[in-house]
Amino acid sequence: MDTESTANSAKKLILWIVALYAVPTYILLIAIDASRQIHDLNSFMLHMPVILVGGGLLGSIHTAARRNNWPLLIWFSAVLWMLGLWT
Amino acid sequence: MTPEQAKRELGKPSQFGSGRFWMLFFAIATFLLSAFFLVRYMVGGDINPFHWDLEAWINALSGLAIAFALAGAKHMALSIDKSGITSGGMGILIVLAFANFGLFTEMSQSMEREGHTVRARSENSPTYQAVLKNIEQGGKSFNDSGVTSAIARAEQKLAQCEMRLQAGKEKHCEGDKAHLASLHGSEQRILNAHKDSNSQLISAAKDMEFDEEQHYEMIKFFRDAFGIAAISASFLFSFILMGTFELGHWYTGKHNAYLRRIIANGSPAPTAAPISTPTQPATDQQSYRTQLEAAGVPVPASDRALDKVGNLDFLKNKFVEGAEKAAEQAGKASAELTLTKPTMSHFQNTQTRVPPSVPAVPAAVPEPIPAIPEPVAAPILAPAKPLPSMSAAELRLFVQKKASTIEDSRFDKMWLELATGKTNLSVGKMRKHYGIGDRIKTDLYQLLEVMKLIRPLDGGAYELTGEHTENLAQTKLNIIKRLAATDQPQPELTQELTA
Repeated sequence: MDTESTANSAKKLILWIVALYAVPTYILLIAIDASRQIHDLNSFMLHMPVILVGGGLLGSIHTAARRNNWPLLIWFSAVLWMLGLWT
Repeated sequence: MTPEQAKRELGKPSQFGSGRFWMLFFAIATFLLSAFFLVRYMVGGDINPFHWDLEAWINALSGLAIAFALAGAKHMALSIDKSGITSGGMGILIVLAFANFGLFTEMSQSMEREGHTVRARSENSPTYQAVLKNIEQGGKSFNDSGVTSAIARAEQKLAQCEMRLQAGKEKHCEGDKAHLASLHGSEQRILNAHKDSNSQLISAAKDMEFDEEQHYEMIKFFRDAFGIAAISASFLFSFILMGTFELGHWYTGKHNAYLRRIIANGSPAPTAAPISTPTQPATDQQSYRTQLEAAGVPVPASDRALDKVGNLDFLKNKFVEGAEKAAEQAGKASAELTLTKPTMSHFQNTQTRVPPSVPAVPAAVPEPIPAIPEPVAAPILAPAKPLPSMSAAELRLFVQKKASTIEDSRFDKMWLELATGKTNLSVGKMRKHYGIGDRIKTDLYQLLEVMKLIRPLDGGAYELTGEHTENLAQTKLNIIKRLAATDQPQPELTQELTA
């Protein structure tokens, strides 16, 4: 295996680690936290969008990882973190 | 990525792969986000459906319908291959319009949530709770101050004094009156002070109900970093959040289009050729550029007119027929033909006419070009309608009927240009170029036909016949002019014509 292909494999591994790190971030910081704040219809309408937007960001991270698109992967991950800390 | 891998990732409608799953997720999320905002906005007040009246239900259902339509439209616009709808300016505008609506509703929803969170945090803060407690205690402390009971005692004492005064046991009650007045003054002052204190507490509590210090740290950061109001910072934060959500939706749609291209073409390139093409499409389904390129004719990349779809079959008549003669003369094989002079077939009607720049191209081609292949599906053209053959007398009368056209000042020039093949204008362009009407145009072409200089083709086109020399054109022009100038039989002229 030459150096270039090793570097590419390492890059891909890091990329998938970053992408997979988004899953617990979403579950722990967004989905569970927002669900705990839902008590009635009013709170459902307020907090459900956060869960949906987080899910969309998770999908975007998955797509960016599939396409090896580093800039978008980092951007989506950063915004997912921002959303996680917001809830 | 192979087409099989792309198929697996995109998934089937009945069996979702990640591509279709995420696009559907985005569509549902967009609908719900827009619906939450629109229903709340349109119903207003109580959002509990069990408390709604008919009007509220109508408003809520309208909000849901709008959210559904716009979310669906956005999903469809983003699901279409990017080489399709979004390649044009209008397509981009449509996508932006739907995306902007989604962005607006999602941002509104997000800002409302932030406002709600800040209010809840503020109301639960210990400072706010202490202020509320103070307001309640302020009311109690006023009741227990003792001024009211002192006033009651002073009023009782004054009443006793006045009874004794009437009995003559007292000289006056001024002291008791002054004491009571003093107590009333004190009561007023305490009341005023209490009012001031209470209103200050209420004002403080009102401010603390929505404490801007309770905003999310990132919003406070935007507020302080850019020196803007907290609501503007909240807007900026929501824009980043929802803008990224919209970006993700668009990016997933783009990725799916990429997968679909791999499945269809075996390559992600938008212009990739199909893997196997059993038959070439009919010529009239190809662009002028494709047909010319297939024939080996170099075409200018900047000429957008060549991108139109249409049939160039008549070009074959125009270029190849002349070229065949030249090839025969040069002893070449008919497969490789040199272009020579054009024929009249470029006088097409507007349905099949060539773009303006096309006829000029072959003149600059030094290389021989291969023959244009026969189209698979022949275009449907109106059959040619040649004029009936005429006797000498009929021919003379026919020409004499066209005398007014022949005497027109533009007639000679048009005749010579058409009869020698110098002009490459179509019938429609001839009319515009020379400013002639239908009558002159029809007369001109009929006269050229009876003079056997041109012959009609299917589809309203014409082509040159025989020789196209200037001498011949001039001779025939002279003959018809002489015929038109007199109403007497001209046997020698008609004989010359029919020869």
